[in-house]
Amino acid sequence: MKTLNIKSTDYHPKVEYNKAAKQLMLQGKSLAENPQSWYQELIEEINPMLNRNEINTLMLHFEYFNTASAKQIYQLIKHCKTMQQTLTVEWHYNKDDDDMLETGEDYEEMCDFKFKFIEKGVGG
Amino acid sequence: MHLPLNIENPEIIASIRQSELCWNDNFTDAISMFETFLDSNDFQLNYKRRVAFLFTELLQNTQKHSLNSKLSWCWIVKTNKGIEIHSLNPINQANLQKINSEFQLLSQSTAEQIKAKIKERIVNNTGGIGLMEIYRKASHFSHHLIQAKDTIYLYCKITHYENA
Repeated sequence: MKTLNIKSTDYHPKVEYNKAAKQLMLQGKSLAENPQSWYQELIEEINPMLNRNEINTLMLHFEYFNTASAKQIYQLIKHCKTMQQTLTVEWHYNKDDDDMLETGEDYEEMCDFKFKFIEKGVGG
Repeated sequence: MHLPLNIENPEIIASIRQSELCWNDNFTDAISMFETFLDSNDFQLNYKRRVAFLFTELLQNTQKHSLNSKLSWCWIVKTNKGIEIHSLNPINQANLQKINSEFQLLSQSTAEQIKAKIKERIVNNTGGIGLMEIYRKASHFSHHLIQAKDTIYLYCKITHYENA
């Protein structure tokens, strides 16, 4: 993983880092059957930035993800929050995507801290 | 082998058959075909997401559990009634008791209880959640059937009928 601006693939979401805003965003689909290595590599890549307080916001905007990714996404959120306790998690979901909103609320409950929920227009 | 396919005039949207373990190219092709179909048929977003989720999970389930010399098959068809997603994969006999226990647990649980179990497994990083999520999300559809068939295959059928 050479850069934090990673294009999406058939199996993985894109990753974009906005240094000025200190925002890390994952967007798209996460469908790999064995996504552990991809998420572990991402965590290793962002660890130095978390240590330097260079990530204040984790923005998650998934179209959908499989159950194999569900655990990895939880681990990513928990890891970032442990490393950066003032971290804000923004859970973006498309307008009318009630399931993804509900999924975000489930993650908020599992993580035991408040998320910010942002509804996007389709394609937004 | 007799397949539980009893549909009148089906239009196959995506179909993937496998008897080996690696089929990544076929997987992306099947997902792509099926997404194109959904996009061109103006379904509601929630419905598209649910079908996408189920198709992906079932497809990966058949991939994960395909065994040499036994067929795995996942197919999605459009009929004059609506959409049907089917998957069939061999069960490793060593897992049969575990799968049957999981079915028993699911059949006796409410959707909220299943969701609570899924959350528990995610937080504690224990056990699989695929079958539970398939079962929970399938309940949004008109009909669903998930069963061990002849103790050899796991068969899932999930349907969306407009007028059901």
